[in-house]
Amino acid sequence: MICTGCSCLCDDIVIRDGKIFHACRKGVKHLRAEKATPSINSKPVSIEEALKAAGKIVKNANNLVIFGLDTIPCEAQEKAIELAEAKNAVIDDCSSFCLGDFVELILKKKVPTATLDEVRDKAYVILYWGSNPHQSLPRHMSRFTYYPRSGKRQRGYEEDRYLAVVDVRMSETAKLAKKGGRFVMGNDLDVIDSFFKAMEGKAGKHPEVAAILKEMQKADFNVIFGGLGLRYGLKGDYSRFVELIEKLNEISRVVFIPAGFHANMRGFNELMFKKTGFINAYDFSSGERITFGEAVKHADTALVIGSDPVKSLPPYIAARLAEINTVVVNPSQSLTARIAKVVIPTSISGVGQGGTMVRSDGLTVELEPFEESVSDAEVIISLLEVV
Amino acid sequence: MLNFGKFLKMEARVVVARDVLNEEKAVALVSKDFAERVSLKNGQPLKISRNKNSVTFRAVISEFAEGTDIVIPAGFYASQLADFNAFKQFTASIEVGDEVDTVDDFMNDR
Ligand code: SF4
Repeated sequence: MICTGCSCLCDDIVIRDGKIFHACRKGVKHLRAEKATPSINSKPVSIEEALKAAGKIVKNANNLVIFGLDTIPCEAQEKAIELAEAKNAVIDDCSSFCLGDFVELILKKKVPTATLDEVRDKAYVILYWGSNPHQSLPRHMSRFTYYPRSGKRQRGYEEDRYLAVVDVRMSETAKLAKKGGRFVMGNDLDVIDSFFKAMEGKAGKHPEVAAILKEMQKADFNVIFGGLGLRYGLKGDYSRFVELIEKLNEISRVVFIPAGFHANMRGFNELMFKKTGFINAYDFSSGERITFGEAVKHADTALVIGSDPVKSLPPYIAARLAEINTVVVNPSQSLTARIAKVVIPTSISGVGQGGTMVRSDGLTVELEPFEESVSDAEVIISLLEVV
Repeated sequence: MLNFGKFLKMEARVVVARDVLNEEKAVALVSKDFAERVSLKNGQPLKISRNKNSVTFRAVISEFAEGTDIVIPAGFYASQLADFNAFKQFTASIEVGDEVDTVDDFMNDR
């Protein structure tokens, strides 16, 4: 089966006699998460009652915001976008504060990219920038980047891969790079500047980047994985980074892939881009961009699907969600479910519901569920029917 | 060297990072340098405050905070301190805390 615990979408997971094989700790936690119970105002009810109550709330909403969606299949995301359009609502996912901007650079063809399979078969320099896959994508390095012996890289990490990390602190991945490759500790803009200087034969604040450049020149395929650290380090202006990738491609082939997000964040970005020209944060009533963090301030109803904003977003959002009509659709118990008016449990994507997801590199993956249970698409369709 | 047990408040650079093992715990990884600078001991409650919000973490001296002062796991506790402009890194004030916070300490107020 496919694990939907992160955007690696590992396809080699086996569940036999209740035991999970091959998944990382994060995947096991995701697959074993405690199930949510249907409820209205924290009182357990049947799923039919919860669906009916949610339908009433969504139908009566004057100012609806739909949020989450990154852990559900594309087919359910499509229905959620349809619902947002039908209700003239705002729709957004975690990508507006996660790595959506990097996916947008790729969809708008501002940076060259590749698939993880190409990386596994061909990449020599593997540069993780502002990303610590050891924690965020635990099997990224073993399945796709540093460790595999594959294609042109049969001698694996011992001789055929060069690991480099740029980060503001010593992470687990940085520690590994320090041993066998190169770790550059510093501010992202300074490091970018140092790369430009090194290409002119000068020394910048981080002269050690010259070693990474030298390694890149040895190969015809190198990759930079950009994480949340880089995204925030660039402070919303990606021009210098895009320019750097262009310049690096004058000396060797260097592709860019965003690293570290929810299982199907990219699927949502692609669907939204196709539908609206925006990758996220869209208001169907005005046709303008507005993030969940802003929209929730004015909304009277929030439909949170496959996400836990009370856990992951600033506290004013939790306070606001507790004030308005919040409906949660999620497989597991969550902090947002604790403050919601209505909770509708669905099955875990890939376990009890099928469909497709888009991996971080843009590859479409077909889920392989092994049991039948309530799907997110079914819940959203039932809401669409009443509005 | 400052005596952490006695000082009132000081500033620290805080990085928010994913941490699968600690994501549900109020654990703050503290760099050895910083811990020495403020005489902070392993296991000591450490109150981090920012924008009128505070969380008390259990301090763990760790090599994975090297390069900054403190690293806290992404998740509920970090969300109480971060905001959309400072999602990954911010400056916060720190002082000795009393008891390490739990999620219920915050959720029961809602
Ligand atoms: S790396 Fe991600 S997709 Fe793979 S097993 Fe771990 S959580 Fe699941």
